[in-house]
Amino acid sequence: MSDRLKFFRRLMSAFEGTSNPQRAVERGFYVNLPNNPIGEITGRVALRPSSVHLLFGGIGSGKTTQLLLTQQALNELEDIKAIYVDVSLVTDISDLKSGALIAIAGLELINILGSSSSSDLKNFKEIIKKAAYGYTEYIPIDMTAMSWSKPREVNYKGLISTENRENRESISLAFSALSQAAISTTKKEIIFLFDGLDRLSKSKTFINSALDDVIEINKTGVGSILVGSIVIPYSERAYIAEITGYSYFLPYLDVLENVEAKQFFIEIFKVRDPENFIDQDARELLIFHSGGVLRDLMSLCQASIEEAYMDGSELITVQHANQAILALARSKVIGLTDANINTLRKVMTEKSFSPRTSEDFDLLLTGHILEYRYPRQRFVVHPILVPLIESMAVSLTNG
Amino acid sequence: MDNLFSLDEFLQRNGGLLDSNIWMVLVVDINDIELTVTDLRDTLEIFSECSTGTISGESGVRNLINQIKEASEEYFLLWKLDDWDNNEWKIFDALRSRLDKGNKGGLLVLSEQANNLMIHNAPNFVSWLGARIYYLHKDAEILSDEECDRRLATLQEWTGKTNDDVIALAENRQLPTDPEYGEWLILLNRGDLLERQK
Repeated sequence: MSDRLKFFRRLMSAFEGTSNPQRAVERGFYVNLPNNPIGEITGRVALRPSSVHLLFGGIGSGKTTQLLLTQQALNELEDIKAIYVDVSLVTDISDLKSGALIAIAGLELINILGSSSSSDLKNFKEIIKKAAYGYTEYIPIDMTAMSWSKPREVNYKGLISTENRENRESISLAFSALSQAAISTTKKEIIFLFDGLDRLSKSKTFINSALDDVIEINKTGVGSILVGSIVIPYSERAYIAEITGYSYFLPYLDVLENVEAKQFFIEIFKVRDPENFIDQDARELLIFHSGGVLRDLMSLCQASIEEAYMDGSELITVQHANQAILALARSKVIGLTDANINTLRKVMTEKSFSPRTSEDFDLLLTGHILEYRYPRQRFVVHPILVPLIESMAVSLTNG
Repeated sequence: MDNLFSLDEFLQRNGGLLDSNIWMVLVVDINDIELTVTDLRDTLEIFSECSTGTISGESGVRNLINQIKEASEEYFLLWKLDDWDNNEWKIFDALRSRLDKGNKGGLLVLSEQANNLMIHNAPNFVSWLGARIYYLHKDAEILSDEECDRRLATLQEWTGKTNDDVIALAENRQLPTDPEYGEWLILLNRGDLLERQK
């Protein structure tokens, strides 16, 4: 492999935005987020470990990174054991059932407790395992009628794959016993960090399955931090306001109005490209067109590097940045309907947005419309789309 | 409006630079998908320098995800996703974490209709793609003799090697892994030698 190819691969990998964020943290690429709610969550959990915290944020805003760092910070406290679980890796969240999070958390507690337990605890462990994985029961057939036949086989599917609601009470009881034992064994307060649930496509599943379970877990004195989609605070506003817990929002970063946000992005380039292969003007352009969306910045940087590689250049310049911006804009515009474009034009002209319809929520979820909270709350059309929407508006007007 | 590329350019752009969990989509005319996948299967491994598994989605999304989980390959070529409905794409999106196996990512070969369904139903996965939704420009594959000679001259100048040198290296399985060498053999109508590099 040529040195040039090695060099470009290394640079591409420095701007990786889709792998497990733990790898970026380990490579020293982490930069502290401005106005980061994680400090607040960590502080509150430290004071009251058995509490419920909901973290909402847009796709690519860095929620998983923040959750992993929270776990790290909490585990540095001597009396807390923080357990991170990407729920989507353990169960099929597209079919998430009520009780599944309790079963998943229960399995983690069984791990903590190991094999040495009283017979009572063994029984509770068995209940959780059966609830999680399902089990088969052999029911004897009436001996007088068919004495020769084998027992009837009945399969009960597990909560991790399907619901078994009638066992809810016994699962809760088993979880409660196991959590008390785990707290007593570790001499630590236990808190679960449940990730991946922002990808639930139905808000109701988040409320009826995930949040319900977390509230149930909380009754046993175990705390939880739950990640949810950016849409939930809007679509389930009343329910979220009612729950006894804290909710937080991880917004996109307003690089135009927030000096700290701009500085944060400048720092990202310093740690990932210390030798300045991406030139200063290109960096400025990429930061602006990222719209303050971390994953979009990474995508733009990788696309710029790809353009420079194809161009035979050793440096990433404004020309490559512009090609990357156009490519990302083209990807983002695919599938937009006329109604979507009208909504985007309205946000551009009226500079306000009140998401109400499912189409509005979709535009928020996909990051076509960005919400900033600092230094003030405002909604904007993703800056990478603005020239395209403007040109479409002109085309429609000239019709 | 589209990111149009020939298959060769697509491979050069992407094959060589894969070094982490990078996912991309190639949108192809539905009638050309099979042929494109056959071409990609033969060449992707050379360009990406890693073992590539071709996985069909015709038995549904959960089966596809399970196949990825079980597979030992580092890179995946996913196809036959064109019959998936909204719900299948939503499930694919929900299970996105299972696509990151800690090495390289993969390529989805889709029809335009399937691409639209993906865009509307898999926003989390689409955020991984970023700018990497490419459209295959089929006719751009065919270079005129003059364009072909010009490109060969550029490659010769860049490496200081002749066409015969490159063929000899390929025959002796000593061809450098830079994607340009793969392109070179194809320009010389010696794509058959690419197979020998595996």
